[in-house]
Amino acid sequence: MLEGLKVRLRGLLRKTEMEQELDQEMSLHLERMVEQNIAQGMSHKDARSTALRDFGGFEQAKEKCRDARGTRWLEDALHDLRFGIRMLRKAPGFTTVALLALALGIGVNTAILSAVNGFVLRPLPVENPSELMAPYWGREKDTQVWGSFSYPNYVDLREQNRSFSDLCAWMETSAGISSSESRNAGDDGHAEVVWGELVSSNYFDVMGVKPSLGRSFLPEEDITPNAHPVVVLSHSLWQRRFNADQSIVGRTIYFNGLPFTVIGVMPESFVGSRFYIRQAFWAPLMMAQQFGRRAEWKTDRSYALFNLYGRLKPDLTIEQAEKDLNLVADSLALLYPRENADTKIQLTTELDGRYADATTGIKYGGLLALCVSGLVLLVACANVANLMLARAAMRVKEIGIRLAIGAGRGRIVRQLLTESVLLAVMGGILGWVFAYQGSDVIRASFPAVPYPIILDFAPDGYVLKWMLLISILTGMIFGLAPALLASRADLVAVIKGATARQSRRGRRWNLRGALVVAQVSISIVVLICAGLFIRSLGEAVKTDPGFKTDNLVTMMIDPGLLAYDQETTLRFFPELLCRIEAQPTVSAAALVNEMPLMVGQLSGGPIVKEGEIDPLPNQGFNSNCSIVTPKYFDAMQTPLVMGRDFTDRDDADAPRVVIVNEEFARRFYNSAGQAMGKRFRFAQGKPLMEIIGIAKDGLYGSLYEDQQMYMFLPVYQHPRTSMTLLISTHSSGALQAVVESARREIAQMDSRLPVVGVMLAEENLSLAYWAPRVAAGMASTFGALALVLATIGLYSVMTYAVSQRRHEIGIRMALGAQVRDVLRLVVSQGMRMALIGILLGLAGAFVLTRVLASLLLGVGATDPITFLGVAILLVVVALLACYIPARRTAKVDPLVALRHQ
Amino acid sequence: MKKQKKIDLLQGTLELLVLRMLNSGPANGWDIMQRIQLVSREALKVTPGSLYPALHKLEARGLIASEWGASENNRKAKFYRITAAGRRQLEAERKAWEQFSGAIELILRDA
Repeated sequence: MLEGLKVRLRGLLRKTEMEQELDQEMSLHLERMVEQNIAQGMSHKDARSTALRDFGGFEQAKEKCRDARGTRWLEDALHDLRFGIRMLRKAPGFTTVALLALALGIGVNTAILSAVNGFVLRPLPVENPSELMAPYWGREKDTQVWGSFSYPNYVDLREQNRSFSDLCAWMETSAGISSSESRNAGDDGHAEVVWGELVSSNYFDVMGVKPSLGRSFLPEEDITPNAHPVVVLSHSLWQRRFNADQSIVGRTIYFNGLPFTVIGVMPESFVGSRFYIRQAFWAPLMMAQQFGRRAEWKTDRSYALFNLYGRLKPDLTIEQAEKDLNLVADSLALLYPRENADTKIQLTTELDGRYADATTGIKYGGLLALCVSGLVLLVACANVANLMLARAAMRVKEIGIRLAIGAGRGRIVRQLLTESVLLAVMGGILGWVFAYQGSDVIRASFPAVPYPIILDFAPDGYVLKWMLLISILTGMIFGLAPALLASRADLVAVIKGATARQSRRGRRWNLRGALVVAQVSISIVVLICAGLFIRSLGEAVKTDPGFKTDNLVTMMIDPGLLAYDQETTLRFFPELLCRIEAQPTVSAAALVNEMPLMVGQLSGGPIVKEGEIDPLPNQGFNSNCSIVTPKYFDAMQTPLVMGRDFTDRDDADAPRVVIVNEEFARRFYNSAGQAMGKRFRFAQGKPLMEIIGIAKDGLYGSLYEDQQMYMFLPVYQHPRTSMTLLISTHSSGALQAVVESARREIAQMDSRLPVVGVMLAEENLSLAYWAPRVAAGMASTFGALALVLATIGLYSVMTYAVSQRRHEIGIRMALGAQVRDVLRLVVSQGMRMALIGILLGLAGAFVLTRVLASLLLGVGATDPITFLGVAILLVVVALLACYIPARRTAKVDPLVALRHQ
Repeated sequence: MKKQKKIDLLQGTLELLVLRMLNSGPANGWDIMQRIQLVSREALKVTPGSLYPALHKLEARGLIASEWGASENNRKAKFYRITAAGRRQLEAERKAWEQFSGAIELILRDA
């Protein structure tokens, strides 16, 4: 066995040597046969020819010996490769265009795949990420179950389940961090806001990561609230703020003004529970109160704070584990009917649970983008296939000769396929370069948000593997048809010296025509998508969100981070607003829990009108709401249709008040007028609130939402500490100064208080507009690419067709045809193809764009303006692509054309 | 199909024949050719054109090994010798044939 292998290897590596030996061995034998024949009395000539005859095929025997070595396929493949490279170098024009087309097509796909990978598919940097499971909590009646768990429910689940080897809990929080406690911050004690997680002590074990420095949490740190102020830092925080200080373990850091001891540092690769957020620290969840949560978090079964991760016991399926968890949920529902009635649990892998509630936008959009970029790749393939057909037509002679001297058809097809795969792989590598550029552009387009989001779209190993596969497949796809066709050359005609023109002209022409029609129709589909997204973006920009953002600046503050209690905060806010409004350039200053059209939404309810009883559990209606201070509507320039704004007198001791939007008034009271002065409350004994004002409708959650009902609650009656400060000025020039003075005022009131996310209100909105903007940008790029490729395809086919008919055109012109007639002849031939393509494309788009409907704003999926516009664009482009080669030919002297063969 | 089988049988038989010949001692292509023509006469139409491929195939399978040397009249020639693996193969074929022919004999005798 080994001997045989050695021989084979030698056959590969020492090819010339082996060849010489083979030739020698057989020639020697032949010589002896000749000698024998001469000894028997034959002449030299006869001896030789008899010997050759008796040998039984000299060259064939050599071939068989070569085959016998068993490495033939590899030798052939290498030979094909070298030959392919040579052929490509001999046709630089073709190679360049084909490479470019392929690079664009494959590059675009790689870029999209990288983006989807970066957004959706990248695994968590933990041990066995695909085995990490995430349970979610919800109501029986919910179709989507993505809720979190309260601490008591988590503990019961962890102790009573029989399907998990371990279950851990985590929740995200932000915190103000400083290195010294004093109000007058010293050297490096500057305050900043960081994001981290509060976790159970088994968290790092479940995730399967160990700290690179120090230790992680102990079980005893997970029992008593507020008893163990320890913290584990992330690598990035440790490097950035503490300069990778090796002696960090044991040092004291202040979170929200309270001292914590550093016990460890996590390795660089671990970023936290969400793959797209870089957490800065992990603290025991027992310290939740220190991070602003209410003290009841440990006992209140309805205070849902925590997300769970767990790993299953071996040999259990997700379905089994989910059933088990639901059994526990059912028994809890019986024990605690008030909080846990009618609840159910959904179990998914961590990957499936990502973006759970944002499915439409992200996963869907990613899939869509992949499909469209796939279409562009198809156009590129069709383009290159066309080019290859043209080249194959020119190589008929070469191929014919090879067939004649005995090459099998399969051999020829294999060689042509090797060429096309080679081309595709080279195009793919070039495309990788494009992809890198593309992913940079996508990353740069992401709006700046004050959250530590990880945007990693560079193609990684996974993407590269796919890209290679796509390249090879592409090569086979566009290479197969030309290879099969080319190897079927009519031998007799070839040997006689005929060229492609005369041999099988009709057949090949139709295939090229079909390819062009395909390219045109796919381009139409892609362009229509682009057009729809562009118009959608236009509509999005025109949409009135219900407030104005000119001359408005925002920043986020949270006195709760410094452990201000509610009372102190409620004194802090009015004073701050007062000081800021004292500036002459400020027209209004207010606070709101969060700017509209940002990330999350607050909800309140269930709503109970005055005089009615509480609805049954899970039957009531909630409404989203904002918590605001007086002058919010002034700052946002949202008109109040009726009634009045909140004032400082609407405080904790005054009667409860609320402002609602027009939709709320319509839904609950039939009209704004009828809603004024009415009162309602939230279920379970909350006090009645009087409607004192109706605000104009607007958009609150996303640009795509249906008009929702909305409430505005005064912060002095609904205390909270994390707020966004809004300051509007009389003119835009004053904004910078106003920001500076606001910071000064805040620092004067409390220098430890960090201020985050200082932005113009317009920048805030950029997050909302990001999706339509990216969609429009990408779709336009795809559309432009598809158009360019289809145009090149059409142009090249027309040039070829015209050159084929040069002889005929020469005759026509010699017989008296005008340039005009020739043009009409040629252009009509081309336009026929283009029009078929356009019609097919329009029909296809009509059917296919329905899938886009949910992603479009204010534009129908079959918007006639877009369809018409794209059709006209393509007609014009096709006309040009046909006209120019036609014109060039018509200008040629008929005599020259006649002589042209 | 029939023609194919005949050729396969021929190749297999030829290889077996070569192995058996080399079992008695190393030889070069010419000698093997002579010996085969002696033994089989017209039974097997063996030409050098089929012998050498068979030799190379056997070598690729590791059943024989080759080296250059001088033949009896001091001419350069490639000599082949059987390997241990080749000997094992030969033995296995011999056993297989004995079993096969024994079975046939049993059938024929009883019938």
